[in-house]
Amino acid sequence: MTEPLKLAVHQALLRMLVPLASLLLELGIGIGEFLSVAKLAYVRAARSQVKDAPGAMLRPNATRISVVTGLTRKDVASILAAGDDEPAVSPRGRHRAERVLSGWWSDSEFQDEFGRPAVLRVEGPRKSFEALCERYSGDPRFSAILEELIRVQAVKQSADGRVAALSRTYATVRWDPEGVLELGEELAEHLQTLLHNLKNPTRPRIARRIFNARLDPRYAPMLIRDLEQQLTTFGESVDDAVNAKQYTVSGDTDHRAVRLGIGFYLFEGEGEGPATSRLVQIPGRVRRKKHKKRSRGAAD
Amino acid sequence: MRVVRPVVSDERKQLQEILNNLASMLMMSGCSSEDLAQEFAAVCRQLSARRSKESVSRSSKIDHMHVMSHWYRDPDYLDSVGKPLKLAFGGAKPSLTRLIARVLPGALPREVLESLLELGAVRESGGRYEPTGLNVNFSGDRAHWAYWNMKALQSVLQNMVHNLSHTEGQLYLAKAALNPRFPVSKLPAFHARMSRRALRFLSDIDADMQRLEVSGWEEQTTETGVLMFSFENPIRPGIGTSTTSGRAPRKAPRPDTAD
Repeated sequence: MTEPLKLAVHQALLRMLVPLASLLLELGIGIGEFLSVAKLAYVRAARSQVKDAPGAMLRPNATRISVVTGLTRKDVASILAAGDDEPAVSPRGRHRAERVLSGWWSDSEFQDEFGRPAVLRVEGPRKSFEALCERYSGDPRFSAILEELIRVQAVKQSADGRVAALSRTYATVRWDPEGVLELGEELAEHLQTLLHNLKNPTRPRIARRIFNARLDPRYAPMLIRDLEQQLTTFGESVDDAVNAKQYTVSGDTDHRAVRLGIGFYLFEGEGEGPATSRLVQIPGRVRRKKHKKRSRGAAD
Repeated sequence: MRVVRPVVSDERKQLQEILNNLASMLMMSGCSSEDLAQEFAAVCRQLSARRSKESVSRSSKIDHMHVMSHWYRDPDYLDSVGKPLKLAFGGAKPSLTRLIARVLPGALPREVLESLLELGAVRESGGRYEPTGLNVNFSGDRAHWAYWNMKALQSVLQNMVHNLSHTEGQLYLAKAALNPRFPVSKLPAFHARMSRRALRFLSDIDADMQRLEVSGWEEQTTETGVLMFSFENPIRPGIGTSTTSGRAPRKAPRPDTAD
């Protein structure tokens, strides 16, 4: 690795780790615990690379992984011996609730005449929350899912007992085991896409950042409001497409399902001082865009 | 010798322009002027009974909706979460009078306020005024629909004539998404979904145009915009369904009209 590249990697790593360290401090995770998880991640990543390499052996080679990662052979052997046990918290409950919510917004059998999620009675063989759960969670035990969706305010129960969908999405990151797992999953998806683009520059996945580091703060509330509305509408459109019934593998087919989606998020922070230009990386090309007096975005 | 020309009202001019563009478009598509004159006279005779008895106002109340666009996007008129401020009619800044004076210089603020109240774009609350949304819904008001339809027709025909008389690179947008076999049962949900997306798109375009709008008269300006329509052609029966029996197709909700 060349010195400038090494320097860039160190800077990028530090930028990634500062918010991560903030999060871990909030969660009470010290450096020791972080290092033990980092070692595990290094071994898993190296094992995956070794496995994918030409002429790879079927069994993971501790010595080889030790050489690549810089960990002691003893550490590697102990991590490999521990196997792939995941933490005790499972995201399955969350995923089930998310699938139920998605079905409610996309399946015409659970919608009203204008395509909105219908107000459903809780129990019943047809057009009920119970039937919805049976179809989308694969589990007829619906009360835990309903309780969870009401708790995160994605669903509201009226006085007559019927339930209405309030939101298309499950709640965002929360300080509970499933919320923290979700945060890790979102970050991992983002990094995987960026990593894919580094490895496959000729066939990159869409990954764009659009920002203005010199925004007049008076315009921020309006832009945030408009961006939220635009992305909500766009998100509904994406949801309708990727979760369309005819595109989704049902339980009785031989097709192996794939996972496909997009993610978007808004970021806001301190602006920059005087700057004359910014370099904006767009997959497949590099564009230099000059700052105007009142720039409307660093990328088109 | 002094030639005295008859005074031509704005409404008459608009009608002439619509007919001129309609005839131009049809002739440029191959129709003969004789056929057009004959058919048009016959159609007018046939439809004469359908003429609205009400006097249709040609007022430009809908044009006053441009105030709303600024109310929703000028930081002087927004709170910390981007919500438009409630405004007093007059007095200290910011006020509705000042906003109207800036957006529609020369217009009478009281008259504009009356229009916005009538259109339901603004409501009064505790002696102050607040907007109800960026878009207006005419509901059953025939006068507003008449004004809107004439304006829309004029714009669509102008687009068609322009595109028939210009070449690639100079053409205006004229694109459509069509499907010849759409299930009637899915229409209401589809219209509702499409309206939501179209309103978001139009709002985005409105913001874009507003960013480029000039306030003074230093340079030439024009009215420009994008119109969106949805439509349904006559229903074809499916196999095994009767054309005469059964329920009438469900009407989709009338979509909102964006400023």
